[in-house]
Amino acid sequence: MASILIVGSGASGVHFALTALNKGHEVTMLDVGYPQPMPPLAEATFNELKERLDDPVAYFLGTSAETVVYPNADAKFYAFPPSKGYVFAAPEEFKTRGPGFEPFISFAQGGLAEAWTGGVYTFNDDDLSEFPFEYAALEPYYQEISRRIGISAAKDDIAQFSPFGGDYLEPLRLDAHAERLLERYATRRSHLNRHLKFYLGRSRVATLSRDHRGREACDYLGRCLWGCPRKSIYAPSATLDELHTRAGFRYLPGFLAEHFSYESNGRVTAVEATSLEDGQRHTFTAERYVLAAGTLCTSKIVLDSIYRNTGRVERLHGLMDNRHFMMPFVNIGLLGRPVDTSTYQFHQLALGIQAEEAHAYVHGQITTLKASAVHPIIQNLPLDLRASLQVFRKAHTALGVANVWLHDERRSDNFVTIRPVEGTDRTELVITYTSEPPGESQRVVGVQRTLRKALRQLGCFAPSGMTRMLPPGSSIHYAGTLPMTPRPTPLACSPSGQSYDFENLYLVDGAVFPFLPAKNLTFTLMANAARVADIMS
Amino acid sequence: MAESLLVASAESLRREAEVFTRYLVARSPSDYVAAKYRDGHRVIPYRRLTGTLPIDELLVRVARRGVALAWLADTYGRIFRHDGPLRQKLVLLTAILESSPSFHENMTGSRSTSRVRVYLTLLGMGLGFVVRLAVAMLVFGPVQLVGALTGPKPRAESERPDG
Repeated sequence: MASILIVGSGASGVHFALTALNKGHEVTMLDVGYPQPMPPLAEATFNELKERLDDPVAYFLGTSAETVVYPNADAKFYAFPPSKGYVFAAPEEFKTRGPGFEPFISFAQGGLAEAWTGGVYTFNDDDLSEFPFEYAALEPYYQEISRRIGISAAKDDIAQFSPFGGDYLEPLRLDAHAERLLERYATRRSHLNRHLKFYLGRSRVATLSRDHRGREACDYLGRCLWGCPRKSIYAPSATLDELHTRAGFRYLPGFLAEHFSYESNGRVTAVEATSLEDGQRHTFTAERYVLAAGTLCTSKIVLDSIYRNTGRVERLHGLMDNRHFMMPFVNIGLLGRPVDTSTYQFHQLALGIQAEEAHAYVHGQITTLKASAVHPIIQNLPLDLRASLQVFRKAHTALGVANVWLHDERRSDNFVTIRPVEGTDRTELVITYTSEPPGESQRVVGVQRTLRKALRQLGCFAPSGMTRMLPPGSSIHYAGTLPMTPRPTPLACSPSGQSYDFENLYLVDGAVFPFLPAKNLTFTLMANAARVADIMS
Repeated sequence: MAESLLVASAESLRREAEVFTRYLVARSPSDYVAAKYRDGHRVIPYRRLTGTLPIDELLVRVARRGVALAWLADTYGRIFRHDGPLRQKLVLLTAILESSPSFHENMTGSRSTSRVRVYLTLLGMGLGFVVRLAVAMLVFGPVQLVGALTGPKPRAESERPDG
């Protein structure tokens, strides 16, 4: 059995590690590993926190109210709260540059999925058409991951686009808003399916509707965005906790992996990492090396390694990220109803819009705005703030947002590279993302029109002018820089995740995706990492 | 000489917290809310500018004077200075109120209302807004127009030649 060094503790890293340990390998995990702060008052609801915390403004907005969403053209309807600050903190040594692209990078224990919303959707054969394997190859690993993380779901219209593989838990309780949307959908289903190619179903979420593997079921405290104190929403740190109990596992936090050394035949000999405690460089060796640091960090490690060993600055082409827009709407039938903030705060419904080309399927999730921040919403209403507040209070229960994603493809003019930082021996990651898939602008207009019509059929009104197209990078679904290819190709990897350039190096995060469907990718990241660990010879 | 928005004193901020809280939720602020409002001005975006527009100075100065004038200034600001300092101050205060003990209840729709009443509220608010906007344009419009024709535009500190 081999000794394996994994860089990164995110969704891919922990599931690779667990599968590798199950197969008898010895695993060392190198990580910066900023830990999650303990959520306060574990039993308190969203509103109780505001009454019982010593300094609730600091908890909800930051010590100087620095996470307030101020008015500007790009203002979102909600933002990451201070309690998730640890997820996006970065060591001083790590620098990026990418005009026009908003990169989110995580060095937290558990990585970016510590701040996800738990959406888990299998990719079907259309989504995988550019992957070097089919759905059948991934299915057992989807099932394995669903056993590990616990998925609440219902078999409904979304299943025809995202195969329903695995023993899922019963779905979460719906709130009145989501219930009403599903009721309306049931009565207009054939029209919506036939004329608009629009489908609605329950969200599939890695959130527990009953206790599972030491984690507690959702208690509907309404605190999802601020950090679930019951760990009902799965985060990779839960699997990291499980790894700590396993023989053969060693976790080394506090190290920023910089690059690896390799011999002329491409065999990796060591990983060099900087200790964040003393700034010293340390060398770590193993028989096999696994990069699971997230697409952007993994790319930087590969680029830095080539630069350090040869002096060459390479470009990794094909960076992808889903375009994302938010369409707020009002469910007319719920105007004037009282709001109940003790509810599951994240999305409860999933939507799909079929496209002419199967791989261009559009995926979305509907969030009803009960336990979210008020100020980002009311500042967008077309009235003064006092009137907006009064209108908001009467419409609160009726408000929702459809978050919609479009697929992305690898294109050569979207790439990452590095640039030496003057006066240091470091480099910065340079991100260039300038082009969009052919016809995307028209597609966005068409999807928004379809969605608006569908919402109207569901008894909702989506005011034009309030839809927000988010800038490239903000989906945090980065992929494609070191893709899996069926035949050996430079700066790519085999279907089993093995680098074609470095024989004992494996790549298991989003960097290896040759295509990015509209659906949330994290479930597939976890399943693919488990698959690579399982088939690694 | 009146103080600039960029160096507002603690007393001015206290006064703003009092008037603006009454404007938004018809209550006086607690000491906690007032202190948080003052602290929030350390990172409020407009303070990163090199200067302020005369219209923004005027809107804030007028709004400080009382609830009715705050309503008038905010109405104008919503349309013509949507991301200006006055709106930033009011959004900051809204965010603080919705996170603060007892005040958060003023911000959410916890009571049931008939649909007819909702429509009447919407209609009333919409009409009131239009009337206030017409008055506000007469009061503030000329100042903004003159300022736009004559004054320099404030820049972010990072855009300063030496910044």
